[in-house]
Amino acid sequence: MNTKNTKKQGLWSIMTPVNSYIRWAMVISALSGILSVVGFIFLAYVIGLIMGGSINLFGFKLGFQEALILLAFITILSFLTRFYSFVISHLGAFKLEQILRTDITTHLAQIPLGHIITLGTGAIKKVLLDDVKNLHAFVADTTPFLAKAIATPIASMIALFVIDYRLGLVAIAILLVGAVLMKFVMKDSVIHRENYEQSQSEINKAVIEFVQAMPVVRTFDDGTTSFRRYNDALAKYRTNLKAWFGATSTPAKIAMTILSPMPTLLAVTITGLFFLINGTLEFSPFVAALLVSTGMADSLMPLMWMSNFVKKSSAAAIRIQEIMDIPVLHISNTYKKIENTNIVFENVDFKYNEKDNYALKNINFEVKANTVTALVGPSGAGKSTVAKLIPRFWDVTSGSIKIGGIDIKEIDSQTLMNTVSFVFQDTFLFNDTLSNNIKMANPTATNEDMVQACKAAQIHEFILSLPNGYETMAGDRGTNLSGGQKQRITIARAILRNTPIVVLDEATAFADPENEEEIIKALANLMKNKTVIVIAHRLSTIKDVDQIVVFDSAEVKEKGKHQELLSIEEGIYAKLWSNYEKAQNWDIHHTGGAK
Amino acid sequence: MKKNQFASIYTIYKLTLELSGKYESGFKKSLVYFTLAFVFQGLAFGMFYPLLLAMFTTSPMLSDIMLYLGLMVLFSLLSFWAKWRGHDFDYNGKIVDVTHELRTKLGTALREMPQEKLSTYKTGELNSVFSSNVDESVLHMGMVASMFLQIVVVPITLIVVTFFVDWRLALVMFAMLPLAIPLYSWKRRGAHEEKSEYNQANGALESDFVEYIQGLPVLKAVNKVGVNAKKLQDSITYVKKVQKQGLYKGQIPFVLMGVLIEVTLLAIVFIGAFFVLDNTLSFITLAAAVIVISRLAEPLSIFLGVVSVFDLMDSAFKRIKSILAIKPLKVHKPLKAIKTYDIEFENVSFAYHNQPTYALKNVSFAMPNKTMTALVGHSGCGKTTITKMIMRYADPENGSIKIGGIDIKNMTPENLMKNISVVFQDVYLFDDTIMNNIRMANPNATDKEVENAANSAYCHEFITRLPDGYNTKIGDIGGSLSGGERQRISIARAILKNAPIVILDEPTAALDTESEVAVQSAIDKLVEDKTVIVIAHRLSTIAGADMILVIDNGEVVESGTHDGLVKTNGKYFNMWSAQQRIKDWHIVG
Repeated sequence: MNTKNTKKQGLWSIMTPVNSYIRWAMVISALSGILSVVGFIFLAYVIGLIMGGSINLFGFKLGFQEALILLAFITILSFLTRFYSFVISHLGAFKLEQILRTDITTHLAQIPLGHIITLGTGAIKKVLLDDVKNLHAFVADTTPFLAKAIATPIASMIALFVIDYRLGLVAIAILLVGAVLMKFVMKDSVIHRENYEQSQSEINKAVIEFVQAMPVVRTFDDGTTSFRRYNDALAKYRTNLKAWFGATSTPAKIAMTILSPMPTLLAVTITGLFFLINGTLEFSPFVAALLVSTGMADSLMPLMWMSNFVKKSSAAAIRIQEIMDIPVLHISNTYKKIENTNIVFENVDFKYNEKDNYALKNINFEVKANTVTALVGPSGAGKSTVAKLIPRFWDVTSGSIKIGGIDIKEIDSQTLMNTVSFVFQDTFLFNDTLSNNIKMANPTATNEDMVQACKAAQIHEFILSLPNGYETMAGDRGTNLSGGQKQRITIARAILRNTPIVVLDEATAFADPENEEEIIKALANLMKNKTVIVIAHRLSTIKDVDQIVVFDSAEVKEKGKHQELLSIEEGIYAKLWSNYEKAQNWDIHHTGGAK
Repeated sequence: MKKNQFASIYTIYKLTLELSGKYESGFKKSLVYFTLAFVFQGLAFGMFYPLLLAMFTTSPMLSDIMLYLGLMVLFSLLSFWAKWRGHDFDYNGKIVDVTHELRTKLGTALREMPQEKLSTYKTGELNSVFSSNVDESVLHMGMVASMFLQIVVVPITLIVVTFFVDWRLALVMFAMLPLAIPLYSWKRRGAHEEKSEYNQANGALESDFVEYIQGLPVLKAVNKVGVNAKKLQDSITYVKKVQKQGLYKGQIPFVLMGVLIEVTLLAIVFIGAFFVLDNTLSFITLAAAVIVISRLAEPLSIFLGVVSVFDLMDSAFKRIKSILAIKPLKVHKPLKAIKTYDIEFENVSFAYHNQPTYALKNVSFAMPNKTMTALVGHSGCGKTTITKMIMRYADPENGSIKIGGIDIKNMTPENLMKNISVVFQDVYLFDDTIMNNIRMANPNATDKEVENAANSAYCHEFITRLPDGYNTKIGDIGGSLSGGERQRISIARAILKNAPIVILDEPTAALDTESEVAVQSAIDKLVEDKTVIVIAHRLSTIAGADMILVIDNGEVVESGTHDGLVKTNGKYFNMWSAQQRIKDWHIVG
């Protein structure tokens, strides 16, 4: 995989794996274009042969019948080459789809998980499915078409010059006039296009806003505010697009007229007639010239249409490239075994992006094996980021994180994944039976192990109550499980996986209020004899943990046990705690009629 | 089959006219011009017959040659002229007006469609209809129409002209050229068959992708990634296999169409040769026929290139139309205005669209004016549905919802919504200034009034600390507002609106403890003297409510005050005691 050093090279480079197919398809397609031109010329001479006589082709004398057979042969060949090139290009396209999808999915497994969470399933899926499909269209249909659309006019022009160079000059002259005009049309098109694209993206924004905000719009807006913004965007779009059309419409129409085949045909006919009359041109070459003279003009329209497809495919290629350009996680070649599960953060700095502010600054703390550490602090303070660094969702910007004295970058990813589980980051259930979903965490687990894990996760009874028990299908196409049930199944999975370190986000743990009691019991079982790091929101739950690390503005501000931290005067934790108690005891203060 | 194909083209034509709206006549006019242009174009090509004959008679007359050449030039000029006029529709910006009108209509449809219907669309889906679908289909409307007319009108004209020159040649052309139609439908059919199987394979692939991406943390741990992700690899390979199977079906007619003109030419020369040898046809005429027919190669090849654009337009049009076709909920006569704000549900039953079970079953209750009612129960029990029904999310199947004694069906949506403020769990702020975000609730409010509302919602202080104060644009500071600050802005909006009915749907559920306290105080301000409906998970929050409705499975199973319900030892009591137990739970290190 050459993913590390690739720059954005766009459409053609992304097709490298199937280059041989594409080249071959293009060559053959070009050949089919040339064959049609040859066929047309030959046709003109064949008509001349009806009246008798023969032509001399490479030393063979051909009469009408022979010539007609040869013509039929050329036509068949033209058909076959066309067909063959389409088959090759399509096969190449299918192959490219497969290669790209395999490459991208492989790459996804090697980049930091954090990127995948940031990008989002929807966006990644779109790239894998739609963008790859778009490239398919380009490879399969556009490349052979392009080769033909370029080869045919060139062949026609050469043929025309061979038939009669004067007619060739006439055809070229007409095209030049058209091209100059076209240039005139395109003069300001960059600016207009930019304006247009900008106003188009404003429409997009306005639409998204309009759609997403609809509940708010309906309750808070009588239509004047949001609809005005939408209408403003529409009006701007109309103005810009009309300006573009207005500035270019007349020259565009002239260019379109001149570049259409008609003027070339007229010019060649008139000059051809003139040469016929003065005796410098014969009948068959004249007919041949009329048949091929418009080859250039004929190809222009299809080429213009194709630029649309090319643009669309380029955008797809860029999006694919963007994913492939995400650097893979550094993986050391010297794998080391983890002896114990002490976790140490040493001078850790972290930024999500180079341009961003520090999400973590100089973080130092230690988590002793088999103890519980809680991370607390206001939202955005950095506690979730710390948690994400341990399973290497992201890599530190500087400093190091060590497990059992070994830098986590020196631990191979599978070992690390088998050492740390980030509960609830993987609540996803596969479209498979419940038993496979649970057992996949540990391929050596027996059914008995699985049942034990499910009992510990408070989900065994529920699973048994399902008609198919452990063989019930889960996932998209399976049973509708509630959020809490899914969570407990994934807790069972985590229990079975039995990683010595458990990282847990309490906010996601209690996302489903109905199952709180069961989840609490399940979690308690999961945390038994583990090294636990918990991102805590309900401060009451962490009163008795071994260590509380308090974050504020990307830094560790306080460390210690609950009571120690409360005794710090003006301490951050103390303030958090008093806020917490206040919020817990709020009841809506309503002054109304009936009370 | 053929009929279907014509039908589909006719449908597209009809749809196009429909979507042109008030510009329909302009579009029709441009179609007439295009038709004229291509008739003239055919006539210009047709002049090759007399022109070549005049040229190659035994004694050519210059006047004849000039006459036919002149006619050819004249017809060409007429064709150019008509085409120009035809393109007036798109190049002079009429087509932009069509997109504008269409988008305005779409916007209105979106604004007015029943909320239930709206919720069935994904944002991305609607966005693509509004922006790219409108553009792609409408902006190419003139171009595609002209191309389609070209491949129909020019050959017909040429066949007619040829008929007057030599009916037998016309017959050969007539036999060959319409072959494009069955080939075209063959192609479409092939594409269609290929598609249904292909779509299925793609659908499976799509869900495997989702599974893979979301399951990556687990899959990585068991090393089932990349080429080892067997199920995914199988799906990828299967898609390839299906594509390969469809390849020949789709491509043969496509390629045949590409060489149709060459085959026609071959046939004309072959058959024509017999007539020439019979002396019933001059070979000059035959040559002219060849030149004339070769002119059809260009439009046909363009057509092949844009066939897919056709399909694209077709589906884009249909999607646009399906949105425009959604009717807003009917406002019943007589219209009445609300005077008091007690809310009453009378035997309300409601099922969501396409759902087999009722979300609300025979729900009846009354909330007196200016009281606070809490809705509690498990998620999915129907609490939120009740609040939605008050806002006429959809009409109930049975029963009625009344505000101040008036059925909400007898109110205009504006009138109904004027009286209700909602604070959602998820806050939506527009990419506009904070001032405008708050003021939207009451466009006539003065700056002072907006500031007062902000003050009541405890956001005046942090807003004034922002670089541009109230004129700070939300987009410019984006993520730097905390969830609590955003929620307080939305509460300021509600305070400014000062609607007599306030709905609170878990307004603090998504907040951290830090922000919660301030938001809670803001809510206390908002609900003063209002009729309040609140959904809250933490029961202590709503313990002071005038009435608590316990909802289970779409039914009201208990109702009363907190003290009363705790005494009954029922569902509410169980929930309350479970929450008390959890309160004391903590992790033991």
